[in-house]
Amino acid sequence: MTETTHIGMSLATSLQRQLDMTANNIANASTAGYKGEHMVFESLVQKGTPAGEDAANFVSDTGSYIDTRPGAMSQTGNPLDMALNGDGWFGYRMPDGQMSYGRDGSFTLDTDGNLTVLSGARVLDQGGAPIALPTEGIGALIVSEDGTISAEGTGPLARVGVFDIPEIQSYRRVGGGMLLPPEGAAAPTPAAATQVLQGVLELSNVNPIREMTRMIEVQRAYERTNALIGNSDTLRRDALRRIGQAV
Amino acid sequence: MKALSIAATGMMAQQTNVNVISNNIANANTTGFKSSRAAFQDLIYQSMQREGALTSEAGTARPVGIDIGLGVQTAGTVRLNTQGGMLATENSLNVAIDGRGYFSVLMPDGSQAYTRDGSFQLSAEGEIVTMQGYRIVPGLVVPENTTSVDINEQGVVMAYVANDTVPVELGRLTMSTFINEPGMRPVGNNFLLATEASGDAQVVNPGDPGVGLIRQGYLEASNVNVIQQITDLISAQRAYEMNSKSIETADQMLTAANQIR
Repeated sequence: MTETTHIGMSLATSLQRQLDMTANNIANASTAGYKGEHMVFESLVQKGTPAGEDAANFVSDTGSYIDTRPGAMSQTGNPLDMALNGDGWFGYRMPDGQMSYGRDGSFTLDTDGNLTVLSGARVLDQGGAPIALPTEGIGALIVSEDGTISAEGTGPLARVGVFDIPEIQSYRRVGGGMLLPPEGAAAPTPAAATQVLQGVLELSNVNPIREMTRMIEVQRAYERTNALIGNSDTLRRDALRRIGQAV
Repeated sequence: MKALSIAATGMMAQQTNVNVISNNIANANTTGFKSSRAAFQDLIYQSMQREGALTSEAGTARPVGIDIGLGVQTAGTVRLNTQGGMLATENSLNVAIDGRGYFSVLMPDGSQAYTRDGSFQLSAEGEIVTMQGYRIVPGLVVPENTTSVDINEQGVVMAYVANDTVPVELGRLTMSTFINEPGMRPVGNNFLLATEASGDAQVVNPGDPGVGLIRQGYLEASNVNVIQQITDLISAQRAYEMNSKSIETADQMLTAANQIR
């Protein structure tokens, strides 16, 4: 009998987490290069007893996946803003030396000429080394579609690394638009089919309508499961009362 | 339920966004103003279940985990250093920079500030000063009885004094460049200061490789794209409303939870 309560509770807990996830997607609706996160639900079946009792199906949120669809492109005109047109990922070296990957192309230069993201992580080139540009005597920077950075009147200075990561779902999100590779993952290979667009930023790929409807669904499902828990409680109380009277 | 605080970070981020956009719109007609953009980043993630955690003794591992993000933060405001339009004023002391570079200005406290605003004036002593009366660096003094001042593209300032047909060279209007221009700190009055992030000023001459040219008789208009600002304002407002809906939903779900019995 208490199973009903626990089944309801398993759903309520998962729904709370899903709301958190949806709220986070909405909060990041203006984050450049942000990829939405979505929950995967699964039923956890408890086998019925040999006496023929029905099996109970608990709900379990087994995982969440990254929505890798591209976000809208926004023209900013800033020569150091870059967007990826394709499935590739930028590579970064975080201040603690770890390699990470993401789609945030809002880059800037530090005083040593290092190409970095706003949080200070350095941008990697095609070979996996951080990019540093000369600090003096260079004019406007030009980024070609294959990621080659050159300046007016100079040859190629560096090439922005774009990597192919088919197993991106196993990467861990750490904030700041960064995804960390799992332990023992092979180094990603350069992506061939992804274009680098200069002066453009990829916006968040969060779809507001989908997130709002999901939020309504979550809320209603939560109310239903709460009603279920309440009903099963009433049922049990009722049963106990009647049994008590019979004696 | 973390949704309440997550949505609160979203609302705060959109407030910052609207503040930055309003300032851009307010300065749409400010000489030499560069528009800014608030840049956002996702906050840290809480791993409910880690990806790669072992699921059996045989070494099978969980392919995906459950990562719940805790909201959004403002990573910074990025100044867009593109060229503004050229506004012909026909004032000989109005100069615009066509390309990279900043004019240096000596502040009253002895420090240096940098500006793209070339609407210069003369002080009572004949010095070339900004609208605030601060001298430009290097100091240039226009002699008495000057009939006209000529500033060429390379920044050489010449004055025609009295009835002379040969101009007197007063000096050169040098400029400063920085490695990381968005790293300069704006302090109002169209002034920017050098910071650790921007690096030290490199004094250059107009027309050097990669450095802009001087255009006499012009002022640089702001580079604010008003249409873009208005559309950004609309999307910021809608995003703010969506975040408030998240709060409302979380609140109603908590109410529902309280009503179970």
